[in-house]
Amino acid sequence: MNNLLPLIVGFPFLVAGIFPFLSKAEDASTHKGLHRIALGASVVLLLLTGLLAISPEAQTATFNLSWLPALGINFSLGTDGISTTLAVLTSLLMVLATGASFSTIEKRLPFYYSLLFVLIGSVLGVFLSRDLFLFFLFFELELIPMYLLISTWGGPRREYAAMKFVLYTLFGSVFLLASIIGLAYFSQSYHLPRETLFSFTQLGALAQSGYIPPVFQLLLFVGFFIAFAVKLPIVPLHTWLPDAHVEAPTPISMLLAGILLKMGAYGLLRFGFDWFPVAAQALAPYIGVLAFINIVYTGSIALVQTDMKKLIAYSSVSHMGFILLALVAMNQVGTMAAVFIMVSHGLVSAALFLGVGTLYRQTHSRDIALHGGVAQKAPFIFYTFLLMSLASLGLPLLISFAGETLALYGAFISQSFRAIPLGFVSLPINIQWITGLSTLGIVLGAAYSLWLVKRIFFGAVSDACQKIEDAKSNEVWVLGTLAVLVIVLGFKPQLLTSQFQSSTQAIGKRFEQVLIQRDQALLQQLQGYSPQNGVSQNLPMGGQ
Amino acid sequence: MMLEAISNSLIQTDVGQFIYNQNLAFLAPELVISLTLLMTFALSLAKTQVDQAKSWGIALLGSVVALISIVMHYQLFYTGQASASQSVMFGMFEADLLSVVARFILTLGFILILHLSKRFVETRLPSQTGEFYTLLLTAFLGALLLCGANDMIMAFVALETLGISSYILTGYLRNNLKSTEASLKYLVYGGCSSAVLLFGLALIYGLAGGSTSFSVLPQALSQASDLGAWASLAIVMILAGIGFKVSAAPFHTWTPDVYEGSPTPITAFLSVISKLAAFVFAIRLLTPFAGVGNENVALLIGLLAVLSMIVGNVAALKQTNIKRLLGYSTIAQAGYMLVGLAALTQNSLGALLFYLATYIFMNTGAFASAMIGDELLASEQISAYSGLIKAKPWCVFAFSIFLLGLAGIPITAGFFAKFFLFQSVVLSDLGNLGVIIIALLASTVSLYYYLNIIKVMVIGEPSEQVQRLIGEGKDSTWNLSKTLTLATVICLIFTLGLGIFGQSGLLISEFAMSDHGATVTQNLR
Repeated sequence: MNNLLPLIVGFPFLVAGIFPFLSKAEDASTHKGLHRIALGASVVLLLLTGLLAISPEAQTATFNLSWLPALGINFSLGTDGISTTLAVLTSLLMVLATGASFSTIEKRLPFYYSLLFVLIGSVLGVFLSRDLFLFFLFFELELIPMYLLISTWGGPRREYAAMKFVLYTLFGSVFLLASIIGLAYFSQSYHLPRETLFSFTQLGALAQSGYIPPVFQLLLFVGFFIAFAVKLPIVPLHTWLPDAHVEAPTPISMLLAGILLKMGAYGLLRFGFDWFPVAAQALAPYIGVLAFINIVYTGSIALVQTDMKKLIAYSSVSHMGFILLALVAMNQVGTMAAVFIMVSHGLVSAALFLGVGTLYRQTHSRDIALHGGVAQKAPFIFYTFLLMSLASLGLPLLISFAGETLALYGAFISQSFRAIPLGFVSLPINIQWITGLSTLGIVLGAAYSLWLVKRIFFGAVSDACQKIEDAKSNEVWVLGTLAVLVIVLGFKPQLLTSQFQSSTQAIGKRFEQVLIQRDQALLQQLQGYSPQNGVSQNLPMGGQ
Repeated sequence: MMLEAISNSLIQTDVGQFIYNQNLAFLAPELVISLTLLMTFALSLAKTQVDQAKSWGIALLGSVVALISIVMHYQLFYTGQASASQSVMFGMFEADLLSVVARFILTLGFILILHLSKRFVETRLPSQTGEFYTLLLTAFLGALLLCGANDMIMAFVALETLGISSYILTGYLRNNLKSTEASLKYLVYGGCSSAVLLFGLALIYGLAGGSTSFSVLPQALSQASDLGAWASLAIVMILAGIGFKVSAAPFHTWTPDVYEGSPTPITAFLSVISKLAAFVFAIRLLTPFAGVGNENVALLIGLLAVLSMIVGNVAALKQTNIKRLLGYSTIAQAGYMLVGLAALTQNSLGALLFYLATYIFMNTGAFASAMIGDELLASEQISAYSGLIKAKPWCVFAFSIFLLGLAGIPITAGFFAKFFLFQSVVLSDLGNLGVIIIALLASTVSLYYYLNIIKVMVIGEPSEQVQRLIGEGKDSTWNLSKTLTLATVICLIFTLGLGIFGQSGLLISEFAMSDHGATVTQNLR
């Protein structure tokens, strides 16, 4: 079983290495063959990750290979519930993106698939690595294929968008690397074993132990936070995302929204919050405000977009705000909600991008105003797009409902902050207030989603949409698969949560522990000043 | 047995006795190169071009023999022989592990440069082949000696041997205005910087109590309690001299013009061989200062580093000529290396040496690719490379890997080398994190112009030249210089492999620094 992990990470790179040697002829039959080979390879990849997910070791599998022992770098892979879930999501979306490529990518296919498989390999590496150096390597490795994918097959402003994407991410990586090296410094100064300098277990234990001086905990946390805030993205570091999504070809938009953003969420959860809970709770008020801004501000921006893809891109940023809110809650429910939204948004946004992509392929325009009455011409696109829009706005019994409700519930019962300190004053705004205000995001979500559906699909058939046809067969099965998943997991979210429940509970418990300790310390401080001992009855204890 | 008998009988002779007593055997690489350059010099007098062309083979043979002798010397360290590290020529040359490792890298780089030169010299300078290689070998000899120079006089002589030969080589394309300009510029700047460096050395000579040897410096500097202004002045002057050689800002102004004007193999030589030798010289000269007044030295080097990174990267953004762009990129690279030098600990110096080793392959590879581009497209403009992937996908692949290596993108050796370098600097002192963040931000900027070249080659519409190439089909590939292609492939293999399998390389580099910067390591908490 242990050999499955290196196989999952290595297989995409192997496939990527084969593609450049395949036929470069630009005719229909060669293209069909290449598409099929890619589809076959990604199905194999999905089977491999599926095998991992259903194996008894889905939560515990590890693989360790000594790589550069003198530097404390190991080729170390491992899983827990979260990693396995995200790995399955990645390979599933890869299959669907390959399916979507059938009708959208029409030139330089060997090169395209080579880059796509390198991209997927490095994303899988990010989710499965258990060595911080390896994690960083994969995190950076994903950049160049993504750059080339956007800038070769993208829309009119593709080169600008691709460069912006790379530079923003690399800017984030600066702080990521600084934090990694800083953490290694403390590991070294406490004389921890040098052979495993970068292993997650060792660094995680060190970070959580509290031996690192509080100031540096804060700095290291901020370093990780900035890096993943670019990736997630969090306002004001989000401006690369609308450009990249809009200019990328449809399959790449699906992957960008579906899994690349999740790298940011995953990193925030695993390194930011889980490793530095004390720093995280100290900064929780501000992060909470950022989450609120993310949800409402970008939701409002989405409302006024005239470009379909841009609208969905901004809605993605808004949904990522819910992940951030769920993380700030710092409890078991919130942690579970964060992972759940990662998956639900992955499926829904991929479907939305594909839905828009099918229209763009035919009308060559992303302008909402040029579309109208598509429902009459293309009923299948209409029904699936409507379903996904409803899922996106959080309709009960569809997948997002469970995630966003959990997130809001988790944040509402959270004790993570009771006021927002601003220098000498502190605003009496607690997380419950933030949560309450953030529900506005759901309303906004309903507004922009439904309005988009109305403008594109209803009314008279516009000139641009006269010749529109329904989805092609490949788009039908891709959208169909997504629709089935959205409905099934909406009815029975336990199918999904059972995969990662134990992992998120473990993390959530650590968070709650930190909050309880904080409150107890506060209580002791107050008791020191108070002549009576009965005060404790009236103070909130936190953590129930 | 035979060899032993021969060497025994050789030792009996007068010359043999002298060599034996003065440990001259440890100077075998330099002696071999001297002999080689005498032979090519003799060949340069030959009238026919056929005879002249042989000088390439002789130069290659000489460098390979030198390489073998260096490896044999390294064997002594490996087997742990006590007498492996030796002073040669009354302590003027230190044949220690650092010099051995540095000379090994240097010789590898030189062999690559010879491969780069072959076709270039045959076509552009057919009647001066002998001279060209003689001068190239002379410059190389200076670089080799600089790696082990443990004495101010020795160091200066080596530096000038390297410098003066380089001045001539940069101007070798006599009919080319830019080449002449490059030569003159390099000569004037170089002369001034040598003078400044010499002044600094003279001051040190006074401070060290009238000794020219580097080895007495630590003691002399620690005894002289009131170093004060004179020592600072000396350090500033020395850093200015070194800064010129490694093309660190603000002593970099010669770099772009000289790089653009020089014959491309010479540009590669300057950016690779000169730089490496100058860094080894800097390590040897500056480590004694690590203990005393360390903060000032580190601060000054750090300042140079930050300036170089900013100036190099920002100026490179707008370049349209590939050689000029690589020139600015090497200024930025010098900045990263200076960060490692500023920390002055064993680990950081080891990581620096490793970085230099990877840099040699990446940068030589980049220049080799530029030469291939020149052969194929007859242009140095980046715009000419547009759409090259349609004609020569593998050339584009190789060039992209070198550029990504210089930018520090995984999985190239550049990524690993940069990571190790920055990590070692921070591990020596957490306070260095600020400089590292600047360095990382600078390398973010650098990706913009490196990626830009890749973008042009991969995405751009084929330029006129490329369209002609597509028409020619496979012929243009077969017409490429074989040695140039070979050098590119070697560089590619090392650029990809040196990181992933580079552990022993890094360990050797750190081991080589065990006598240097060790004092600082001990001072750490």
